[in-house]
Formats: sequence, structure tokens, C-alpha cells
Amino acid sequence: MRIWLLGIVIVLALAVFFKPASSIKSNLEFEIKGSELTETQPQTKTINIDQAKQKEQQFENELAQQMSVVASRYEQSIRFPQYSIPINAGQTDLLQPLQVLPVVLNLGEGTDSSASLAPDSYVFFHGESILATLTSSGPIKPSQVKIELVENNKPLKAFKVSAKEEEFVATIETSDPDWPVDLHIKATFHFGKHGKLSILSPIKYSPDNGSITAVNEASVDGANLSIPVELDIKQPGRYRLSVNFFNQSKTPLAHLSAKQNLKKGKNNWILQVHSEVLRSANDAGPYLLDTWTLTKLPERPGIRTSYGNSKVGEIPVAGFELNAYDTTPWSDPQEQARLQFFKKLQ
Amino acid sequence: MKFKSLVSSLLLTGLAATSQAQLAGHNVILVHGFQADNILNQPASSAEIIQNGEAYWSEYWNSHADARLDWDSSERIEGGTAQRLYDDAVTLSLSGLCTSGCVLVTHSTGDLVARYFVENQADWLEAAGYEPLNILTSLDFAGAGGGTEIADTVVSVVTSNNSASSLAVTAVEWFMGGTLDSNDDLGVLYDLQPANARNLAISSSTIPRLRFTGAGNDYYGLTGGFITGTDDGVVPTHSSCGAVQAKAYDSCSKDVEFDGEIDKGDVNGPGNLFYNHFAVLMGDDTHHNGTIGTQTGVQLTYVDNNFSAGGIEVDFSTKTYDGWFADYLYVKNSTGSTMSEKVYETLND
Repeated sequence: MRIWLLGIVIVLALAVFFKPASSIKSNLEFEIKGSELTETQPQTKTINIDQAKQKEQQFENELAQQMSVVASRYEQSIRFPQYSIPINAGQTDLLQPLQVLPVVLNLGEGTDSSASLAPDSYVFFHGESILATLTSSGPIKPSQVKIELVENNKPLKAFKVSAKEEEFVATIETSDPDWPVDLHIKATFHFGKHGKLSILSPIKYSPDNGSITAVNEASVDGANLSIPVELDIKQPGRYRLSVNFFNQSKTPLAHLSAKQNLKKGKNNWILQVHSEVLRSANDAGPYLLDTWTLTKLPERPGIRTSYGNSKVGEIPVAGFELNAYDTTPWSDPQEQARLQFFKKLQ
Repeated sequence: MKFKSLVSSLLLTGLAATSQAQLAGHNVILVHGFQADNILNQPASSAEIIQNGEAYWSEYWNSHADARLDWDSSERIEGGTAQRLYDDAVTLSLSGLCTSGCVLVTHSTGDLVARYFVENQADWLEAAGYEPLNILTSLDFAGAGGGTEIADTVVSVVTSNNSASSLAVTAVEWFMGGTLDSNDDLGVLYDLQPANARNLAISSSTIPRLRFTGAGNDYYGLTGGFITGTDDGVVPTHSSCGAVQAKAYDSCSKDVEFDGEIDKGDVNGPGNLFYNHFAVLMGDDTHHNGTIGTQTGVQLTYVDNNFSAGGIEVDFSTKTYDGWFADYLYVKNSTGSTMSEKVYETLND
């Protein structure tokens, strides 16, 4: 064996013998000196009761510290009412609601080809065209492509499929209002040596329950900036209205969300932005509203969640001096009880 | 007598009830995860669903809980499961079990089921004239609230009559514990497809969710190739941490690896979690069932919570230990207990 190779082997052997901290931590003991933790020499395998208690205490103290962090963060969170929570640009779940997530056919590690099916939207409304696209990557390409709408793997209707370059675009021009809410788009195709395969991408097929039709002038109402919204509702029931609130540069400031019972026909809804959000951002406006979502909630168990739409898009909202708002801190007894629970865990 | 009547009423509706099983003075309700056997052999009765629920939590949590919400994995969450949860919620409301606040403990799909339940229970109970359940927090072990890509694979393999690659078919058979037929009702597996899971009950909740996650694999690594990023054999990290995006993450933190190695800002972890989700502990070798089972010998690490949730930034100092080649942040002496044991004993102290 070459000398240099022998050297490497010896170094590796020594490295294995003297493992890094992650590997030898079970053989190490630590002791608390004041608030500092210091490493000591490896101990014998015999651990007396006092040592065991000390170890338990070390864990408890540290997990307690974690709970203290959670309590601190929750305390910050409940400064804001649930109807008006601060958000940042990374909160994409709230900024881009009802996102489409393509379903990727995974054939396992070492397979260099895959296919992916994506609907044009997660929610399609009764009467709308339903569209989806099958794409692929790698040397194997889908062939004999068949795309259909299925409920629990039972076919409802076939899509018209057209091949465009390396993708397959599927369309159902007219949909049937009797189809249920929970559906899948199923693409079946031959995929080279892998044979006949399927991908199922879930969608919601919703009745058009109503629309957000107008947004009126905002005003200061105590601790809140109140924004009147008009809706035209086709199906009465319990609804959630949510929208994102931005500054003039379209930087997100807050996510607004509330529930309300709505009747059939014209309805008014007062959206509220709590002024603590505005003070935290030190932004007196004007502002923008965008990405509206109207959700019809299940009034009873067993009813599927369905949706409405918005006829309004980005809307400007007037601002007011920050000292125009009531500065009484927001406080909710149930949230305070949760905070007390966390503090008890520390 | 009051306790006795509570026990009998809970047992009648399929809920467990034990004495002195509280966590920090509050009653504990368990919400179990996906049970593959329900798809292969649909439960014949509510009694069977209750038996399955009891068996699911038998390794640790049954004896530390006051009630369970049991459900059938062959049903959709917005279908039969919603009705089953509501019926149990009525019983819990009448029993007063949550009057002074309850703690949910969920595992795997129980995270998603609980999120849907929490979003709707108050509306449903109030509409029917019952007191809503006062839920303080949820401890989520290996939470699947963001879905898992293995559900996409199961759905694809089963609906193509198991004609996918042999690797995919084998992984699905291991995961499901048998071969499914294309006519089988896949129930909650449809809800577990990330495209569905990430659009179910998505409103921001004031109920905090504490996340306890693992990155081990008890399926001999067979399922891992079908799950995005680091996984625990069933659930991807993006889901168990509560990340807002279904990306291929390797940790719940941008600063700490699953094994505790500190690499400030360079770890492939999420920048944002769902609102009021707090990642607390990670176990590099803790596998999916190990989070609530008897698995010991795993070194746990804390999640450096120095990232934002809901737009709020909170920094905190961490304790680090010098290693030969790197610094590590970890729970000392955690190898002698299970993850659940440590969490319960510590929080219940």
C-alpha cells in the first residue's frame, strides 16, 4: 500500500475512533456550572441516582427554555386579533390561497424520467371549462395519453386532449352541475419501459355560491380600520371571507379573515384591520387589498367546503393618521388562557 | 360519581377515559393517524374503529390521555370522518371534559384531521346548542397536515392496477401492508395528497400547534424515495414541521440540522411555518411511529426557532456544544427515553 494511502487510512481510523460530538454524545456527560454548560471527561457506565436526576433536570430545563420561546412567540402572536394577523412575503399559504400543486409521478430513485399533471386551478366552478396539462421530463415521453374526470376512480367524462410540443393539454368545455365537489383529473398513458401508468390530480368542483361585488370607503372605527364590502350570495350559509392587505408598494402587511352567516341576495360585510398591525408597520396608508377568497364552510359535518368568487381585484384603501385609532391593546380571554398554559409549562 | 358517569358516557361513544391522565392539569384528547388496514379491510362497526384507535395509542399515550377521537381511514375527512368527530365532540361537550381547557395530541394524519376539526367544531357545536370545546394547544407528532407524496404514489399505483415500476409497487405494498385493488376506496389517502391537504381548513388559527418531528425510516428506506426531501418514512419534513411550502427540506430550521449540527443560515429548512405552528424537537433517527412509540436511543435536537411565523420575528439564544468538526445543538441524555415520554414527562412536571 502506498504510504500516502496508508496515511489516509490511519487518519480515517482515528477519526472514526475519535468521533465528532454528534456521534459520541451518548458517551459524554455535561454538567451545569451557573448558566454555562461545559463538557467534561467521559464518565464510567455506572450512573447513580443523583446523576440520573441531574440529567433529567438538564433536559427539563432546556425543554422548558424551548417552551419559554414558544410562549414568547405566542404572546407576540396574540397581540393581534385573528381577524387581522401580520404577514410577511414568505407566508405564501395566505398570500396565494387555493394554490395548485402539480402531482408528480415518481418512479423511484434512479429513474431519470417523470411526468407531472397540473390542473389550471384548484377550484373550478359549475359550468366552467376544466383544464389540465400533462408534462414530462427526461428521455421517456408519455404516449397514448387519455385524460378523464373521475370521482373515487370512477370515470365521469373524458377530456379532449391536444398534444402541444412536449405537453398534453386537456379540456372539458362544458361541465355538469350534478358532479360532486371532490373530483380528480386522471391521466393514463404509456411511459416507455414502465408501461401503462396513471396520475391523479385532485380538484374541487364547486357551485358558484356568490360573489364579492364591491368595496366601499374605509373609516376609522375605534381600534380598527373598517372596510365595508358588498356581496351577492346565491346560497345562504356560513362563509369565510379572507383577503390580503398591502402597503402601496405591495408589501404584505396583514391577512384579514373572518366568518359570518350570509343570507341569499345582497349582503354587507365589514372587514377590519386592527391598528396594531398598522402601528407595527408604522404605516398610515394608503393601502391596497388583493387576493380575495370567499369560502362556504360546512354548516354541518359531512357537507363539503365550497367556494364563491370575487368580481373585484386589487382595491385601493384610504389611510388615516395612526393616532386616530384607539390604542387599547387587543386581548382575548381564550388566547390569554393558552398563553398561561404555555407559561405553566416552562 | 361524577367521574364514573363521565367514564361511562365517554366509553359509550367510543372515547377512552382514564383517571389522573392530565397534562399540566388539563385533559388530553388523542387523534390518531392513518391506518392502512382500514383501506384493506374496512372496519365493520364503530366498535371496531374504537378498538383500532385504542390499539393505535397502546404503546404510550393511551395511559396518559383522557379521551380519543377515533376515525376510519377509509372515509374522507369531510365525509364520514367529520360526522364521527362531531358525534364525539357532542359527547365531550356534554361531559365538560374541556371546560377548563383540553390538550390535543395528534400523530401523522391526525394533524390534518385535527386541523379540520378545530376549524369547524365551534361552529357546529354552537349551531346545535352545545358548548364548543376549549382547546388550549395541540402537540403534533410527525404531523401530516401538509400531506405526503407517498399518498400521490399510492393513488397512482392503485388506480393503474399496480402496473407502475416495481420499486413504486413494492414501496406501496410495504406502506399499505398489502396489495390494493383499483376498486378499493382510498378514503383519507385522497385527503393526504399534498394538493388536497394544503387546501383543507387553511385559515389561520389561534390554537398553537407544537411540532415534534423525526427523520428516521422504518420501511427500510423503501418509501423515502417517493417522499419529497428528508422524511420519516411516511411524512416529509415540509409537512411534519408545518412549512408553508411543500418543498424538499432537510430540517425544520435554517440553522440546525436534524442531527443537531449547527450551520447558521445554511441549513435547507423552511423560512416560514403555518400561522401559530412552532417546531420544537427533531430526532435524526426517530422514525414515523417512533415519535409516539417505544423507540429509544435517538439523540434529539432543539429547533432553533429563529425564523418567522405569521410575520413575527423572535430571536432566542441557543446552547451549543463544540464538536471536533462542527458545533451541535442537542438534547443531552435523550437517548434513554422515547420522544413522547420525554415530552410528556417534561411538560407534565
